[in-house]
Amino acid sequence: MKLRFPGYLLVLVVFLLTGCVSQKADDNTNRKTVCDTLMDAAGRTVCIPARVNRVISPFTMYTRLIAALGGCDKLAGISHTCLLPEELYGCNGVLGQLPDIGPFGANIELIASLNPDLIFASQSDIGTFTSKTDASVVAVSFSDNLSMLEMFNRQIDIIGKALRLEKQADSLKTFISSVLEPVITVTSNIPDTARPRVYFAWTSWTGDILNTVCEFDPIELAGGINVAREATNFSKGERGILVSREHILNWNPEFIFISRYQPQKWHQNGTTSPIPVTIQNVIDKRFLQTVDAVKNKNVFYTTAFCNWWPHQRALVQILYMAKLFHPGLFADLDVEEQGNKIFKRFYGEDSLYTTMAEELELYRW
Amino acid sequence: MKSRIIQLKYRKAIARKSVFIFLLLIVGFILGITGLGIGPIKYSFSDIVGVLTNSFLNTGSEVAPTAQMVIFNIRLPRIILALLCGFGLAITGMQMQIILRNPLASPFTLGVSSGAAFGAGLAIISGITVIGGKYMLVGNAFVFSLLPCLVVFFLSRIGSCGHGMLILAGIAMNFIFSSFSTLLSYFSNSEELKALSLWTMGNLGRASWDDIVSLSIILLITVPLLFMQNQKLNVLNAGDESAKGLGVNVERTRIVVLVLTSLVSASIICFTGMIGFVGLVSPHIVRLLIGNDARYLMPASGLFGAVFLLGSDVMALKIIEPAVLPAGIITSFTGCPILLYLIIKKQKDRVW
Repeated sequence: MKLRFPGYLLVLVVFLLTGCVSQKADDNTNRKTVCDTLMDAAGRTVCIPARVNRVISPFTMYTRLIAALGGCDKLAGISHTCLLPEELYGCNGVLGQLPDIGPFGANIELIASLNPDLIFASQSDIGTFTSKTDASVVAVSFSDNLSMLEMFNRQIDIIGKALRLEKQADSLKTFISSVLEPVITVTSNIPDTARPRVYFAWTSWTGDILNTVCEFDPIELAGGINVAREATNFSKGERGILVSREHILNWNPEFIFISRYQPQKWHQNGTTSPIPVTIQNVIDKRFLQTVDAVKNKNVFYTTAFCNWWPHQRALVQILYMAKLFHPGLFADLDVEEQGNKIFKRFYGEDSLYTTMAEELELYRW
Repeated sequence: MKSRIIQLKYRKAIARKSVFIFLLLIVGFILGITGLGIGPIKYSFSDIVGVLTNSFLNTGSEVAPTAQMVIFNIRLPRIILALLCGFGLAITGMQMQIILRNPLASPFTLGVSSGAAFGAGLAIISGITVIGGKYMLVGNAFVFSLLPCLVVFFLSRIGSCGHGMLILAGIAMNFIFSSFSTLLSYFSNSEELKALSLWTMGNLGRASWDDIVSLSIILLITVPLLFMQNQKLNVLNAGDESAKGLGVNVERTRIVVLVLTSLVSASIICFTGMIGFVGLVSPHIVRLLIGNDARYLMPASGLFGAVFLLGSDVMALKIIEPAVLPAGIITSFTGCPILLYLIIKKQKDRVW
């Protein structure tokens, strides 16, 4: 008699657990048993649910591509970090209204509560998202040393396949290729001797121009030479290095670009961001007076990274730099027209590039 | 006879300390001259001499404009700033260690560095600045680096001014301002985060003659005042009660030293960013070599810090050329092993 009660309790517990597990299994069945598979950026074979309606994008670089592929209606939550002014127009203005899941998807509880069926992730976040949610997790960022354009294409392929928007993905790749090919075909044939030496000043927030990037693909694609590329062994991608003022003098760049990613009057938290280094500051810097770029006033603003390359800006940047470096070769290239075309392809609005160029004080022909 | 032996020993010890200080002066001078010749652009010794004589003695000799710019406006300010900052950080570290009776005390114990980092972060990430223009970051860093110190001083006036309480208050301020900085970083994007982290690593690459003039004025005012405290610090080494018994106003001395050291370290940090370990390690190394007499320890620590920071900066320029490592990284990498070696070798001396 003594054993009957615990025995009954054990049966009850087993019954309840079985019920719970089968309920959970049902959820997963709905989501995962009928699925297509894809190979993600981490080399994992991921099961994509039959219906993908609630997508989480913890990185704005993924959100941009989802918008460009017409997948906005599937978004349930995004990171608002690095959501650029032109992106607020994307998806008929809904991107800014979507729940903010924190920088790089830090708010895991909010993500779980949004009941996502698909999460795009960086390779390092796969474990967190897989263990804390029921969603399929697809890695989009490659750790390989891919060039900027290769990375674009692979990301477009993965996001397109995961959202079952393969046709739109092909169309976007064709569009990018049609915009860039006329320029890259010309610049790829320019010998090193005819390429200008270019210095890219990144993060001028500290009041100087000593932070640069060794791999800045738009410079090379536009037919220039990034003078800092000799330090590639120490720094890849957007990590950046510090150099001394003497190095800049020694390199004697013919062009200097200052990074800007948002206009002075616009800031995500509503405050005004100061911009310590302006074109005039650089031209006035005493130590740069012997540098060709300053002597010839070839100092310009350019757009730069914000949560890796903003795709639309990087594409226009190649055209912008190509025309600055080789005005004779690209006399007929209308950067503003092409820029507006690219931005419209991404965000569906007219004249977005013109607005950005005005606000960031980019050079306009 | 016995007193004569003691007198001889004392003279010998003083001579040894003086020779050590003299040697540091020579090493600093040699390192400075060597630093003028190191860089991506190669200049001969005569080029360097030509630029220097032309700049200081106005000889009117023909000098290439690039050589003039590189040697006089880039390398020389960098070398002088390294010497001034190293000197300032080391003497403030040494005085803080004595006044707080804590071997872990450094110029940053009262929260100077975390306050400065928060000020810089506020300017970079939120755009809130105390002054505008090119001194935006410097202004913010300076003002906010003094804020935690002011809070600590205020707290110390409420209760008794014990060294334990000051350290605890400093640790609390460090944590508060570090949390504010982390909060700012959380809301920053990659570009702002990079700028902030570069600033906090400390870098002498932005050195200019204007910075040197400003820093020199502050050091010229504060360093003699700090030197004047050395006798009292020697008495304080025997403990607060003994010092009081010998007529030293312990609380007043403590406040004076803390105000002056905070002012010096805040002035340095706002121009260079955070350069760690110079202030912490230099006095310990020198103490292990020449002992605890503040009258000699202070100039020796200062000179050692100057040489140490300059040497680290020269290494930082060359080690992975053309990339430049922040000098703060080299000071930590090189300073700590030296300190550990000396601690093991001179364990029996037990200076702390």
